[in-house]
Amino acid sequence: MRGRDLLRSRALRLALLYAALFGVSIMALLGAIYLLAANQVRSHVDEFVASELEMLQADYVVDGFDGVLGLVQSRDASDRSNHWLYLYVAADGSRLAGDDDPWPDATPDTDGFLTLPARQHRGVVRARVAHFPDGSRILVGLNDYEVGEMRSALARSMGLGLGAMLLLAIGGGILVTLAMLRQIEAINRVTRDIMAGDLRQRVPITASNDEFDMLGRNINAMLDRISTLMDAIRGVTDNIAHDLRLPLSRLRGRLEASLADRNQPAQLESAIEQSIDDVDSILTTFGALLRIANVESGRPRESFNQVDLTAIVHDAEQLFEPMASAEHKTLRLDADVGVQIRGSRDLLFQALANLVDNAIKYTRAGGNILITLRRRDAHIELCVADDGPGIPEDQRDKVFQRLYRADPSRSSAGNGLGLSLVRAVVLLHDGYCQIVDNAPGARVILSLPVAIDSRLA
Amino acid sequence: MRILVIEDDADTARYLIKGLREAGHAVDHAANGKDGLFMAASEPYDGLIVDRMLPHVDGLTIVSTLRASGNAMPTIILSALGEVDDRVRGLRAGGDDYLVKPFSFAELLARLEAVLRRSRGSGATDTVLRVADLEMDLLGRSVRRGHRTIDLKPQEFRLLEYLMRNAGQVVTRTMLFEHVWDYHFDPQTNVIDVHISRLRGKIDDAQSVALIHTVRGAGYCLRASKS
Repeated sequence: MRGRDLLRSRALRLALLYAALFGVSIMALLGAIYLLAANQVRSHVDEFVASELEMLQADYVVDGFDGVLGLVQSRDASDRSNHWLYLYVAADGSRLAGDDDPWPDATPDTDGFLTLPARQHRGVVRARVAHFPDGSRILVGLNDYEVGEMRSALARSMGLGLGAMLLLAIGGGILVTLAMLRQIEAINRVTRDIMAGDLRQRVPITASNDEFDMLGRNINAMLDRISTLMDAIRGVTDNIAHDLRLPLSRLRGRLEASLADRNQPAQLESAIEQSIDDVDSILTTFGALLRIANVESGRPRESFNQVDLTAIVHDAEQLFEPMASAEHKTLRLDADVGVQIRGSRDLLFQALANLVDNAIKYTRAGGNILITLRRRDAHIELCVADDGPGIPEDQRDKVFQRLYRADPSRSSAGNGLGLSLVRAVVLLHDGYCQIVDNAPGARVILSLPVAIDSRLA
Repeated sequence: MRILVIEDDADTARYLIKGLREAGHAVDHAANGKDGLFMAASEPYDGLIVDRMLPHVDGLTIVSTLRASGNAMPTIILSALGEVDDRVRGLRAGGDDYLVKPFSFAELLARLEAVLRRSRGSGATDTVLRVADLEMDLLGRSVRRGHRTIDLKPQEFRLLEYLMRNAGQVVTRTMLFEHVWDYHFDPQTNVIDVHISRLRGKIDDAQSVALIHTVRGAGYCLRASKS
């Protein structure tokens, strides 16, 4: 995990953005608290000052001038913190009692309060003046240092909190990012290994079943699918090599032998004829592979039109019935009338012909082959069933693969492409095909949608 | 017959020219589309064999240009593209037949003879077809061999009709499949042979001369004698 990765990481950038948003909102909140509290404290200060002044005025009423003087002096002595300010002056302005400060030169606000600079502490002094009947006046003030204290406490806690929060956010962001990068890196490592050619690698899945595990599981499933396809392609390649090597080496041997026979025209001719047969069988295999590739490319869809499937199954029955009866097999047809489909008449016929041809080929003498065409609610079902040896369950999917043959010696006739073409044609028509047990024998079921493409219909 | 071959591949051209000359045709050759179109437009050929992919002017353009100028020269298009759509495009351009490479020369020759004969218009309006003592009444849908009436299923009737219309000529399995069943792909099985042998069983009996002959490596031929 490199620092650059971390800095570029989207997770970290998100974490920092959240931290910034969070910090701003905390500052706004603390600011609001400060304003409210400061107001509150100020009004308390004002209340204290007012009640002190009222008490002094009451004292004057009871004890007169001396009473006020004594009270101020006793207050002055007891007020060690110097939060309070008392100025008691006579009518001529001479100091009678209280602090040494000069009489302030400020004008009161609408509530009758003066705001004076504090001698000590920070903040201000809120003061109020009372005039007595003898001409003397008194000023009582109280330092609102609590507001300042509160402000600095708030600022301190704000700084501490913000710092801690930012540390937590950044640290947490980095930790979360590192954890995420680690999981992403695990996926990257696997994909790099796969790009380097090791297809067996899989993304590790943790027990937490989080979104990374889901992603990993999907990637693994995709890799499994790719592996299967690659194995299939490898199998096809092997099979092509095997299928073509045999006729090619036979051809080569025959040509070599015919060199020795060049003076015997009859033998030479038969060798050439057999060679042409060999080449034809190779070309047939290639032709079939190309045809399947063409069907799978979807290109024939461009020339789809309305096709009478009922007519096609009747044609197939007519085409193959002589072949079946020549081999002492019975081919029968049971078709719903007027079944229409959008598709390719040639390809549908060829797919059906491949199935019927296979069924006749793999049924014993005396066997039965039945073609059925049924219109169901949402689809058309075309079946070719026989009572031959059937296809083992584990091979029912494989027989649709290119060049796959149930007979492992690959010695029987056919190129192993007939059913591959059937599947390609059915998929081209947005249908699907499956082989089920016909007990005895096999039943190939082609399910085709009624409306293949409503846009074209 | 005088045939023009427009084919850019020298080996294929040589092979075609040699085979056609051996079959008794006079053959001219053009190696590119421009020369080919010029020759086809200026000389009265009986038939044209044209490759689909050519330098300068492609085969389909040659055919459609000829057709646009009213030239109905029987034409076979050769192509390496074998799908149904390609075939349809070739025939729509005005080709009389469409043959996919690689093909056997017998297949090409059989198809060429068929389009040449069709252009001469023989038999298209006949109501009765006759080969030796075999007689087909196209209106009454009946077939007789000598005095014997032969009962044919509709498919067999169409098969025999095609053979009789091309009597004396080789017809290949794919030609039969295309014309009698009207499907365009190589069936790859002996399914056509079974139809022929069933038809043969009805037409040729032990007492009469065989009419339906198998031509090795090519197909079938309906003719009176082996000569």
